[in-house]
Amino acid sequence: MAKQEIDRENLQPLTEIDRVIHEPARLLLVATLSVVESADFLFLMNQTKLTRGNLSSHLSKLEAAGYVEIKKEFVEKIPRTLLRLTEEGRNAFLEYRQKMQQVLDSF
Amino acid sequence: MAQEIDFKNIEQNTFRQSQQDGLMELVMGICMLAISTRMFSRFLIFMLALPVFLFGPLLALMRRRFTHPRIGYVKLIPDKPKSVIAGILLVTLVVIAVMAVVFFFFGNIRDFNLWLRWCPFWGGTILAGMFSSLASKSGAIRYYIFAGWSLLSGIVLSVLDFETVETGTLLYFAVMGSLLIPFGLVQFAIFLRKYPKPGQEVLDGQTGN
Repeated sequence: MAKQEIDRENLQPLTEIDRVIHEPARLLLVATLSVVESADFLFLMNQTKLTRGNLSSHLSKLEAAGYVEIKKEFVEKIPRTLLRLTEEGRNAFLEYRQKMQQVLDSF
Repeated sequence: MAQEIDFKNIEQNTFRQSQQDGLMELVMGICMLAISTRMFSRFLIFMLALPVFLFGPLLALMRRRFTHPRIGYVKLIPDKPKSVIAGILLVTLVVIAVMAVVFFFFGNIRDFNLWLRWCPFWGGTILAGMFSSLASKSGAIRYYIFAGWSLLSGIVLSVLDFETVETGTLLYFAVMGSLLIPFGLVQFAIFLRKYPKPGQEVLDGQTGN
């Protein structure tokens, strides 16, 4: 009975996992953005090997959750879409890692 | 533990991707070669200062022209300036202390020319530290090779006798420039071949449109 209670407790974080980040493509995106200050759309496309449409869709979801900031700017008349992780996004990612670590450590 | 290792890999891979154009080595080599020819000034302090100020803008200009349209733009998390300055100061202090002890026992500690003669060793140590830091960030072996070469060149050119005390320092910059420029050019050529001139769909990819 005690062993079952311990297992349930360690797996509890799994039910509270952030599903916005938990999707593999978005996890890769957030992980990549977490190690840089900012990156543009093309760089992320090359890093993640996602198609343009796929990447755009995932970024929209992350932006809607407040995890990613998307800024369009011009550099010498050439348009650039710049992406960076917000403070909320960094905290959410940290929390996600901690919860996943807790779950994995219980096995 | 596994998660931390993966993060290091992501960080190193991102750094490697952003540096694969070879332009950092090329521009650094050009600046060093320019220093060795005394292109900017006969005075050492200005000789060093101008290329240092030129390096950043020149690299940024070349990357805007060649790199960003091909692989995109990334701004890496910069090192804290205090850490960089502290690192350089620490290396300088250690080198001065070592040299002071050596000169005290085997030379004349008050001979200013002796100190000038060993400038390549000091420069080599600082550059070796910088390349080692790059090696740690990128996981690329070549930076360890540059670090070793930098230190070895510095020692050799400090030991050898030249007509004037500054010849060794100028030669040091020429040697380092001669290593970095060909390497940078080859990397750049490989990069241009791997990523040909971007078509419109890639340019659209920069905006996600």
